[in-house]
Amino acid sequence: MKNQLKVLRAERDWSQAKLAELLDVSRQTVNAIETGKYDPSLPLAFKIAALFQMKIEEIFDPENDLN
Amino acid sequence: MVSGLGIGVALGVVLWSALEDLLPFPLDLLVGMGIGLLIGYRLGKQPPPMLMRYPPGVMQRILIALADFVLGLFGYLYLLDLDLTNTQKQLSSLLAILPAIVLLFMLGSATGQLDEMQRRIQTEGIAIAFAGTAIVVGVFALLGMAGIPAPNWSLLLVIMTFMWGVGKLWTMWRYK
Repeated sequence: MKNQLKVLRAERDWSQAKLAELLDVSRQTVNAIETGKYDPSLPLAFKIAALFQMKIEEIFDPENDLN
Repeated sequence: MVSGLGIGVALGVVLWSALEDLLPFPLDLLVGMGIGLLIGYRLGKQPPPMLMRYPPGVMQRILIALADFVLGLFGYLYLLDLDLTNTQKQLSSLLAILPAIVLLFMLGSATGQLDEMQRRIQTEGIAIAFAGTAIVVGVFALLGMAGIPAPNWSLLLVIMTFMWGVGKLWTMWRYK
């Protein structure tokens, strides 16, 4: 699943460690989400969306997952 | 610091046991405990390696439980050498498993405090360890039917721990 996490983080000039701290997860988890290797759970996706004050679908793009 | 001391004492007992035939008593005890405590002290001062991402307090409890487990095993081996009745030996065998239960409880409780991806890494690591150990047991069983004597079953614990580590590293690499 593609996502805008890296872009959103860069816009705010946050490091992965800073974002990890804000989300209460490890930096490794933030990195795996950014590179698309790990899809966050629904609660974590909501937490990310709330942090950036956006909707989940504005951050995460399911690509062709539904087709 | 406390975990370093715990690990140091456990390492000291292991080294003492290894040096028993090489050095006279109490030199074996002093050298073994000295080296063990030195290594434990150094380990206690260093931050936990990146592979172990448990919070420091949790990591400390795991290391202390691990040290208890090692000491418990040596205590058990010591008891077996004494002139005990069969019932007492059986009771000692059952008591020796208590530190292992505490260690597993600590590991389980620590895993519960990890974030969701780390929990997945641990779970997949355990699944790989389970499958790998099942294959090893199957191989031993087949070899047993072919007349090869069964190995010491405590070896399974070592194999399972090794497989867990391999499984964890493999899963971590996948998410890297």
